[in-house]
Amino acid sequence: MLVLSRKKGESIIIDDQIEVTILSIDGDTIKLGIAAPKNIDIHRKEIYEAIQLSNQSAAVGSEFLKDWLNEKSTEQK
Amino acid sequence: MSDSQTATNQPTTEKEGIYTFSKGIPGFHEITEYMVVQQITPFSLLQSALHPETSFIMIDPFVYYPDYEFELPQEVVDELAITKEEHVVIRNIVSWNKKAEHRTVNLVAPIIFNIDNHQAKQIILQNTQYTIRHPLQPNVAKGGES
Repeated sequence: MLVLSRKKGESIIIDDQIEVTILSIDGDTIKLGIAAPKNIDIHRKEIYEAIQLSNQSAAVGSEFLKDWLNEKSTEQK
Repeated sequence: MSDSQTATNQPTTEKEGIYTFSKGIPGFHEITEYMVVQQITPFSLLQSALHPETSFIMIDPFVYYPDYEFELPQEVVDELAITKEEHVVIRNIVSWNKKAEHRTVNLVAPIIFNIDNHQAKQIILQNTQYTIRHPLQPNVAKGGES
Protein backbone atom coordinates (compact mmCIF):
# COMPACT_ATOMS: atom_id res chain seq x y z
CA MET A 1 0.00 0.00 0.00
CA LEU A 2 1.23 3.46 -0.91
CA VAL A 3 1.42 5.71 2.14
CA LEU A 4 1.38 9.51 1.77
CA SER A 5 1.33 12.20 4.46
CA ARG A 6 -1.08 15.05 3.82
CA LYS A 7 -2.07 18.12 5.80
CA LYS A 8 -5.49 19.70 6.05
CA GLY A 9 -6.39 21.30 2.74
CA GLU A 10 -3.95 19.17 0.78
CA SER A 11 -5.00 16.69 -1.88
CA ILE A 12 -3.92 13.70 -3.83
CA ILE A 13 -4.72 12.98 -7.45
CA ILE A 14 -5.45 9.45 -8.65
CA ASP A 15 -5.13 8.64 -12.32
CA ASP A 16 -5.51 12.23 -13.51
CA GLN A 17 -9.20 12.34 -12.69
CA ILE A 18 -9.92 11.56 -9.04
CA GLU A 19 -9.02 14.16 -6.45
CA VAL A 20 -9.15 13.40 -2.74
CA THR A 21 -8.82 16.37 -0.40
CA ILE A 22 -8.39 16.41 3.38
CA LEU A 23 -11.12 18.87 4.42
CA SER A 24 -10.85 18.67 8.18
CA ILE A 25 -9.29 16.67 10.99
CA ASP A 26 -11.04 16.36 14.31
CA GLY A 27 -9.55 13.84 16.72
CA ASP A 28 -9.66 10.50 14.91
CA THR A 29 -12.24 11.68 12.35
CA ILE A 30 -11.01 12.95 9.00
CA LYS A 31 -13.37 14.54 6.49
CA LEU A 32 -12.47 13.73 2.90
CA GLY A 33 -13.69 15.56 -0.15
CA ILE A 34 -13.69 13.45 -3.29
CA ALA A 35 -14.03 14.85 -6.78
CA ALA A 36 -14.39 12.12 -9.36
CA PRO A 37 -16.05 11.55 -12.72
CA LYS A 38 -19.74 10.71 -12.45
CA ASN A 39 -19.24 7.11 -13.48
CA ILE A 40 -17.04 6.39 -10.46
CA ASP A 41 -19.05 4.97 -7.55
CA ILE A 42 -17.80 5.95 -4.10
CA HIS A 43 -19.01 4.24 -0.94
CA ARG A 44 -18.07 3.82 2.68
CA LYS A 45 -16.31 0.46 2.63
CA GLU A 46 -18.21 -1.18 5.48
CA ILE A 47 -21.55 -0.31 3.87
CA TYR A 48 -20.41 -1.54 0.47
CA GLU A 49 -19.23 -4.83 2.00
CA ALA A 50 -22.52 -5.22 3.84
CA ILE A 51 -24.41 -4.85 0.54
CA GLN A 52 -22.10 -7.39 -1.12
CA LEU A 53 -22.75 -9.87 1.67
CA SER A 54 -26.47 -9.19 1.60
CA ASN A 55 -26.61 -9.80 -2.17
CA GLN A 56 -24.55 -12.97 -1.85
CA SER A 57 -26.78 -14.39 0.83
CA ALA A 58 -29.94 -13.38 -1.09
CA ALA A 59 -28.84 -15.10 -4.32
CA VAL A 60 -30.81 -18.23 -5.08
CA GLY A 61 -30.45 -20.99 -7.65
CA SER A 62 -32.82 -22.41 -10.22
CA GLU A 63 -33.75 -25.41 -8.07
CA PHE A 64 -34.74 -23.12 -5.22
CA LEU A 65 -36.79 -20.94 -7.57
CA LYS A 66 -38.71 -23.90 -8.91
CA ASP A 67 -39.80 -24.82 -5.39
CA TRP A 68 -40.45 -21.21 -4.53
CA LEU A 69 -42.71 -20.69 -7.53
CA ASN A 70 -44.61 -23.88 -6.76
CA GLU A 71 -45.13 -22.76 -3.20
CA LYS A 72 -46.20 -19.24 -4.27
CA SER A 73 -48.68 -20.42 -6.87
CA THR A 74 -50.19 -22.83 -4.33
CA GLU A 75 -50.59 -19.94 -1.88
CA GLN A 76 -52.45 -17.93 -4.49
CA LYS A 77 -55.05 -20.60 -5.12
CA MET B 1 -52.96 -10.19 -1.91
CA SER B 2 -55.75 -7.82 -2.84
CA ASP B 3 -55.87 -5.78 -6.00
CA SER B 4 -55.65 -2.56 -4.02
CA GLN B 5 -52.05 -3.43 -3.16
CA THR B 6 -50.94 -2.76 -6.68
CA ALA B 7 -51.93 0.88 -6.24
CA THR B 8 -48.53 2.30 -5.37
CA ASN B 9 -46.83 5.49 -6.36
CA GLN B 10 -44.75 3.56 -8.85
CA PRO B 11 -45.69 2.37 -12.31
CA THR B 12 -47.06 -1.14 -12.03
CA THR B 13 -46.12 -2.07 -15.56
CA GLU B 14 -42.70 -3.53 -14.97
CA LYS B 15 -41.39 -4.50 -18.34
CA GLU B 16 -39.94 -7.94 -18.59
CA GLY B 17 -36.89 -8.70 -20.62
CA ILE B 18 -33.12 -8.38 -20.49
CA TYR B 19 -31.63 -5.55 -18.48
CA THR B 20 -28.01 -4.41 -18.54
CA PHE B 21 -26.22 -3.61 -15.30
CA SER B 22 -23.06 -2.07 -16.73
CA LYS B 23 -21.06 -2.73 -13.55
CA GLY B 24 -22.98 -5.72 -12.25
CA ILE B 25 -24.23 -5.50 -8.69
CA PRO B 26 -22.09 -5.53 -5.51
CA GLY B 27 -20.80 -9.04 -4.98
CA PHE B 28 -21.54 -10.04 -8.59
CA HIS B 29 -19.53 -7.73 -10.82
CA GLU B 30 -19.06 -10.37 -13.46
CA ILE B 31 -22.76 -10.57 -14.26
CA THR B 32 -23.93 -7.60 -16.30
CA GLU B 33 -27.08 -8.97 -17.89
CA TYR B 34 -30.15 -10.16 -16.09
CA MET B 35 -33.57 -11.20 -17.17
CA VAL B 36 -36.42 -9.59 -15.28
CA VAL B 37 -39.36 -11.91 -14.93
CA GLN B 38 -42.59 -10.68 -13.46
CA GLN B 39 -43.80 -13.33 -11.10
CA ILE B 40 -46.44 -13.41 -8.49
CA THR B 41 -47.25 -9.83 -7.43
CA PRO B 42 -45.56 -8.15 -5.64
CA PHE B 43 -42.57 -10.37 -6.42
CA SER B 44 -40.44 -10.45 -9.52
CA LEU B 45 -37.23 -12.24 -10.38
CA LEU B 46 -33.83 -11.08 -11.50
CA GLN B 47 -32.25 -14.03 -13.27
CA SER B 48 -28.88 -14.47 -14.87
CA ALA B 49 -29.15 -16.51 -18.05
CA LEU B 50 -25.44 -17.40 -17.97
CA HIS B 51 -25.30 -18.12 -14.24
CA PRO B 52 -28.45 -20.07 -13.40
CA GLU B 53 -27.34 -20.30 -9.79
CA THR B 54 -27.51 -16.53 -9.45
CA SER B 55 -31.04 -15.25 -9.27
CA PHE B 56 -32.68 -12.80 -6.95
CA ILE B 57 -36.19 -12.43 -5.66
CA MET B 58 -37.23 -8.80 -5.83
CA ILE B 59 -40.18 -6.98 -4.43
CA ASP B 60 -42.07 -3.82 -5.14
CA PRO B 61 -41.02 -2.04 -1.92
CA PHE B 62 -44.07 0.21 -1.82
CA VAL B 63 -46.36 -2.74 -1.19
CA TYR B 64 -44.73 -3.42 2.18
CA TYR B 65 -43.37 0.04 2.87
CA PRO B 66 -45.72 2.59 1.28
CA ASP B 67 -43.72 5.46 2.79
CA TYR B 68 -40.39 4.26 1.37
CA GLU B 69 -38.64 7.18 -0.25
CA PHE B 70 -35.25 8.41 -1.32
CA GLU B 71 -33.84 10.91 -3.72
CA LEU B 72 -32.52 9.48 -6.95
CA PRO B 73 -29.01 10.94 -7.30
CA GLN B 74 -28.45 12.98 -10.45
CA GLU B 75 -25.45 10.75 -11.33
CA VAL B 76 -27.78 7.77 -11.48
CA VAL B 77 -30.32 9.66 -13.59
CA ASP B 78 -27.46 10.47 -15.98
CA GLU B 79 -25.86 7.03 -15.89
CA LEU B 80 -29.13 5.27 -16.68
CA ALA B 81 -30.09 8.01 -19.16
CA ILE B 82 -33.44 8.50 -17.46
CA THR B 83 -35.54 11.06 -19.31
CA LYS B 84 -38.99 10.46 -17.85
CA GLU B 85 -40.10 9.63 -14.34
CA GLU B 86 -42.53 7.04 -15.67
CA HIS B 87 -39.61 5.05 -17.07
CA VAL B 88 -38.27 4.42 -13.57
CA VAL B 89 -39.15 1.27 -11.67
CA ILE B 90 -37.81 0.54 -8.19
CA ARG B 91 -37.35 -2.98 -6.86
CA ASN B 92 -35.54 -4.28 -3.77
CA ILE B 93 -33.84 -7.60 -3.17
CA VAL B 94 -35.47 -10.00 -0.75
CA SER B 95 -33.56 -12.45 1.44
CA TRP B 96 -35.93 -15.38 1.45
CA ASN B 97 -36.36 -17.72 4.37
CA LYS B 98 -38.67 -20.67 4.92
CA LYS B 99 -40.02 -18.88 7.95
CA ALA B 100 -41.99 -15.78 7.02
CA GLU B 101 -40.78 -13.92 10.09
CA HIS B 102 -37.16 -14.26 8.93
CA ARG B 103 -37.72 -12.86 5.43
CA THR B 104 -36.13 -9.49 4.93
CA VAL B 105 -35.82 -6.82 2.27
CA ASN B 106 -32.78 -4.64 1.63
CA LEU B 107 -34.04 -1.06 1.60
CA VAL B 108 -30.53 0.46 1.60
CA ALA B 109 -29.72 -0.77 -1.89
CA PRO B 110 -32.69 -0.41 -4.26
CA ILE B 111 -32.41 -1.49 -7.87
CA ILE B 112 -33.30 1.24 -10.32
CA PHE B 113 -34.68 0.10 -13.68
CA ASN B 114 -35.02 2.31 -16.70
CA ILE B 115 -37.77 0.38 -18.50
CA ASP B 116 -37.31 2.53 -21.59
CA ASN B 117 -33.69 1.67 -22.43
CA HIS B 118 -33.34 -1.44 -20.21
CA GLN B 119 -30.40 -0.10 -18.22
CA ALA B 120 -30.39 -0.83 -14.50
CA LYS B 121 -28.26 -0.29 -11.44
CA GLN B 122 -28.30 -1.25 -7.79
CA ILE B 123 -27.60 1.94 -5.91
CA ILE B 124 -26.52 2.36 -2.29
CA LEU B 125 -28.33 5.10 -0.40
CA GLN B 126 -26.10 7.45 1.57
CA ASN B 127 -27.03 8.65 5.05
CA THR B 128 -30.25 6.69 5.08
CA GLN B 129 -32.41 5.60 7.99
CA TYR B 130 -33.26 2.35 6.17
CA THR B 131 -31.49 -0.91 6.86
CA ILE B 132 -30.32 -3.89 4.84
CA ARG B 133 -32.74 -6.16 6.68
CA HIS B 134 -36.25 -4.83 7.05
CA PRO B 135 -38.80 -7.48 7.98
CA LEU B 136 -41.00 -8.73 5.18
CA GLN B 137 -44.13 -9.92 6.84
CA PRO B 138 -47.67 -10.01 5.49
CA ASN B 139 -48.96 -8.48 8.72
CA VAL B 140 -46.95 -5.30 8.27
CA ALA B 141 -48.10 -4.87 4.69
CA LYS B 142 -50.62 -2.24 3.77
CA GLY B 143 -53.93 -4.08 3.55
CA GLY B 144 -52.17 -7.30 4.45
CA GLU B 145 -53.65 -10.75 4.47
CA SER B 146 -55.55 -10.37 7.69
